[in-house]
Amino acid sequence: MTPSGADTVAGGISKVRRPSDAPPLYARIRAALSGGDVSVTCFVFSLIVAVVCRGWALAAALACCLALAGLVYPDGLGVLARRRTWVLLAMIAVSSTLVGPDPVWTVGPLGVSVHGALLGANMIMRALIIIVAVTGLVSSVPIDRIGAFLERLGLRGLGFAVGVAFNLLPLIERSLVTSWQAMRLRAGLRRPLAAARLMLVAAVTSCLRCADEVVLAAEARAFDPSSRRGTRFAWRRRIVPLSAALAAIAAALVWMTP
Amino acid sequence: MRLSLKELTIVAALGALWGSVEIGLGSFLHAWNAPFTGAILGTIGIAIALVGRLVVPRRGSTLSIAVVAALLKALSVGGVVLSPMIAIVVEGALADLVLSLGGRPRRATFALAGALAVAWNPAHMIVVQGLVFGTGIVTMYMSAVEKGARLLGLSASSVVTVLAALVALHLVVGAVAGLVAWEAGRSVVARRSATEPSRESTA
Repeated sequence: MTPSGADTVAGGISKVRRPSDAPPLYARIRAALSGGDVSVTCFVFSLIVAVVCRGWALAAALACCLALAGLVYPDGLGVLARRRTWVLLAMIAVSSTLVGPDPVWTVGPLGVSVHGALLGANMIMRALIIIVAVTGLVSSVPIDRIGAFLERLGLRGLGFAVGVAFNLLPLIERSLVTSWQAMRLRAGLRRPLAAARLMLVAAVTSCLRCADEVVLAAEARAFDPSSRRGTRFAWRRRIVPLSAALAAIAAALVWMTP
Repeated sequence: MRLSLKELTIVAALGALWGSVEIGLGSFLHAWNAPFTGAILGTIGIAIALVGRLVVPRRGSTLSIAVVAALLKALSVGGVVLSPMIAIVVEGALADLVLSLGGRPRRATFALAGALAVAWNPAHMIVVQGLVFGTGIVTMYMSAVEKGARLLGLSASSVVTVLAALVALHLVVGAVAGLVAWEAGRSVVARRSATEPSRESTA
């Protein structure tokens, strides 16, 4: 077979969809569950079961929520890799066991309390559900959508303000450092209150100068922030069966709660 | 509340200033595990927002500055940012509420707004932990305080005194921040009104 003939055959084969080319099941489920509406629905489900469930039902709720987070917002699970999260939870577990009521074994003022340990376990499971859900939601919903949501709540022009603020951030940081160094070199830190006032005036004045330049540029282009339409959530039809399924799971978990 | 283009841009710039303090100084203080990080950042932030209220004398401008700063705080590197974001918004809302109820801007209302906003910091920890861990955390803290006081030979009332002193310290620092913001804001407004006609004539 000539090289050109081999290329033709290879090209023909590449166009035919083989079973191995199909995306894996996890990827297909991830694609189906992508989008801000699904994230918000799963977040609400997590909050409800975290608040309502107790005991074994809470353990089952934790398993459900972690599985859901793995499918809907896997970035939320990143919080479990942080040492700080586990240090905080370990502190809660140890302290609730040691200071809980009716200790079964006592050394001085401290005792090991089974009731306290169970209380600590409940608190840790609830905290894990909430921390993963919140981190997942924040990582999966962009800032501009949060801004648009706040605009709809009545804070008009907030989306524009956040955009301007984001662009001004490096400029303002540079001017803050310059003001601080200028004040330090002029020995302005000897009187703390006067120094704080001067620093505040310098920083705010420099910010307002930046703002004036943005206003001039925007006015020159006849820009009107009230006519700007923010990005909105698209509530899709597939959210209905998902919500129904999650409501059924939540009802089952509540029924399991002692 | 409907702000003009100019007012919105000023809100954005001051929100960016508060946000850059939260991101820059906040990361530095967190890395050093400095005590009272929330109170330090809250004091600086609320002073900026209160100056903003004098520059944009509209109801809701302080809250808007806080919301912009909170949204920028989401860009912080590492750490769970939601708790400080909530704290920033609540501080802004408290200050805005006091200034809106106080009517015409006055030194006393600025001091009160600053005091209440900064005093939110010690309460914030309890409220947020209560939301995350449930009411069990309150029972645990009460038990820990009782046992700790017994271990140190203190009465429960002395623990309450220490907590009250902590809140009072936050109130005083916040009030000072409010007064500094009042002075700074007035000089900024005076400077702007002095340069405004010349800027308009050059334009």
